[in-house]
Amino acid sequence: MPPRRLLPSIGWCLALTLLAAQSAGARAATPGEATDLTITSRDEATGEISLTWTPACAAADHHIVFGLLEDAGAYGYTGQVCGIGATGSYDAFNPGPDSYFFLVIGDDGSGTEGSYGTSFIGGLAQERPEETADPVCAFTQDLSQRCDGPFNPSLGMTAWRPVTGGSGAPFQRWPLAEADELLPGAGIRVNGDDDDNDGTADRDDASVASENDLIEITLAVDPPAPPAGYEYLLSRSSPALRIWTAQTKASELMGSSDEIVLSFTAPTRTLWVESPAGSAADLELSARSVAGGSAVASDQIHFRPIESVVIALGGENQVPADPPLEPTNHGMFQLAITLYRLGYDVHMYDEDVVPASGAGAAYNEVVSAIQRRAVSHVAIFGYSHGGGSTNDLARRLDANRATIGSFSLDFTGYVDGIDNDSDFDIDPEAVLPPSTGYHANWYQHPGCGFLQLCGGPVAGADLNVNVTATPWGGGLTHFTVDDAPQVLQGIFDLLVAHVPF
Amino acid sequence: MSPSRTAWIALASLLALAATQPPGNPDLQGLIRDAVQAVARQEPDAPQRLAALQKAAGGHREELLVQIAIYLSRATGTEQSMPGAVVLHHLEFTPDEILAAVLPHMDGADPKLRRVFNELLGTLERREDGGPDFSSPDFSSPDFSRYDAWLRRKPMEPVLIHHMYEVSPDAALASMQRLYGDGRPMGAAPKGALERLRSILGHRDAAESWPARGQEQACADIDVISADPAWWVRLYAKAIVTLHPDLCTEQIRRRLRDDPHPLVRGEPSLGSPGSK
Repeated sequence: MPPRRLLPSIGWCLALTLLAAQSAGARAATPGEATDLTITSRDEATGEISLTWTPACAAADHHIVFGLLEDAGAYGYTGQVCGIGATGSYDAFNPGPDSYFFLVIGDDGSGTEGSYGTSFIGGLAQERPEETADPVCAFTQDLSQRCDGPFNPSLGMTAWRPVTGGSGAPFQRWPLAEADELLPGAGIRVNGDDDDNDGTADRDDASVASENDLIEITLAVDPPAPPAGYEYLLSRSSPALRIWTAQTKASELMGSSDEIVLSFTAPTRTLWVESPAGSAADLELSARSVAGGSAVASDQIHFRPIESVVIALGGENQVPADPPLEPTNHGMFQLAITLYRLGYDVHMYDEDVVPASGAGAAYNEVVSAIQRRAVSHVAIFGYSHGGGSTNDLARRLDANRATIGSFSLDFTGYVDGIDNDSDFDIDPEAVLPPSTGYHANWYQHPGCGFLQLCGGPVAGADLNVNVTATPWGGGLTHFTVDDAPQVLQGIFDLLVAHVPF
Repeated sequence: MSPSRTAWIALASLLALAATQPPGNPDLQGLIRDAVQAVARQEPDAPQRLAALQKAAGGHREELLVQIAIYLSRATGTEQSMPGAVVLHHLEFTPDEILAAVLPHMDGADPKLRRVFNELLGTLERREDGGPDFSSPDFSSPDFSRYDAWLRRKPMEPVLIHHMYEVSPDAALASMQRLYGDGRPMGAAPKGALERLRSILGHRDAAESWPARGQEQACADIDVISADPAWWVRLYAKAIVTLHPDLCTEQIRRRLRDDPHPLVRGEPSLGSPGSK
């Protein structure tokens, strides 16, 4: 029988970082590796061995796994001693008569164990195999968030499309796609308007009760509390961006510094970004080493000032909404939603907000955008009476151009436009919006005789399409032409080609 | 809806306390619905549907118009409202028929029906050149000649006069001056105040902001106008402060509220055209 031997220095005390499913879904850092394992004595009478070790970081408890010495090479574990404490000492280890190898493993006290340490296995330094049989106490190993391992947080920043509903119907809150974060980036309104009507431009106000020009950003980190030696940092490329903790401003996160260490009490945190003057700039969220300053993870978003405003007008009795009140109808609002999600500052209205004089909420929104938000490009499109209102709005804008300020009407579009001198006007809108850079006109015209409602060609338009004469539009009527995919795609393509964000 | 329009509707609501909503006639409503659907679907029997509707109404074209207005006020989509407009167009109501049908019910109408009535009146007052006259100070430049003719033939109609001031205070004032001014020119002080005020409001409407010292000057001018001997000039002041509440001092507000003429006070009872 081979002599009973103890393995005096093969106590690999290992730690791990685990992905614990916390209540909010975040992963917590998990115990690190216990070190300095020493056998301090052995009671010859009882055979019990006393051990000490330096506890693993963040360990709530430790346990021992062991096996016969001759199986050490294959990590043939045969037993466990559970709950040996977090103090770094244990006086009652007695695997029985034979020679054994053993390891001390950090655990969280509730079923997750950490690393078994590394060894040269097959010539490579790699993690020792874990005990999977767990004959005494069950643990699941998780090494993804070990507190002493390489810090590899999950980290991300999401920008949302501009707040809507201040003028025009609100759009659903919509995130900027990850692929668009750097190019073209998140559009942000220049905050020179006066949402609280206090006579002071909002960028100069410390607090704005009804502020709607700040961009919401969601910061997500996992784990919320970085391990010792690391921190989360929010930084900006220039003071062109101001960061606030609330949509109404009130509490600014960055003062004169362009970076701030952030703390998280939950896996996500919401902040608001302001563009006071309209310069482009970047915002970056990173996790970095406190000592060296090097980032171990980061996410960046480019913010670009919004240069245009887009007005979408529906037909008579079409109520703008997102989602559309009629999913297969209300094509102008379907298109408005698509453009908004793409990054345009879109405002969709019932066409009745534009009277024959062109005045009203839509006009005011455009004027405010030009005068106070540094917007210089305008697009307007509409269906039926909304086409007529498109012309009414364009006429007023053009007539007041000298007072309003510098802008270009880059794109206008009619879809079976009907003049809108009243709700009962049924004449085709045949007038080209003055000063339009590009006018596209789709209309249906199946003869248009007695009791028929039709749009018509617009002299001077860059594009006139009689859909009735197309292979795809012969069956369209005044009530379906605004929902035709070919028409909606046509407006979309031309608007995107002629109007910058 | 613009704040100014909301304010006017609020004013109209005060006037409407004693009036009631005209009831829908189920038979006519059904025939109107059939005709509108036939037009929307381009059904071959659409002309017959229209003929049936006209026959059912008999000679009561004003009642038919009110019923169409009720139908349109309940429309929930372009598929009803635009063919409804085609039906309306086909029936070729005269201006007098429209005024005779609409005015008695304006004050009692709910907001949706009142809007339809306003739009029906719009077919009488809005120009047919496809757009507004931007040389006009208030940019609407309606044609009130049909209302002038009506008011010459009828007793003073508070509902119509309020409507005119709602649509265009400037055009309404010009009409009232023609109708009730007996050819007397406006005094120099109120005329100067009026011209300054129009200029300031024109800038305000175009730029969505007041010019420098514009509010103070406009308020001073309204103060002058609101004390004018002619009720239709004072009603102009009332219209402007209704559209622009930020121009109204408490003194002006009190003066207009206590005005000797019921139209300026906003009461539905009639004053005589010549009363001040």
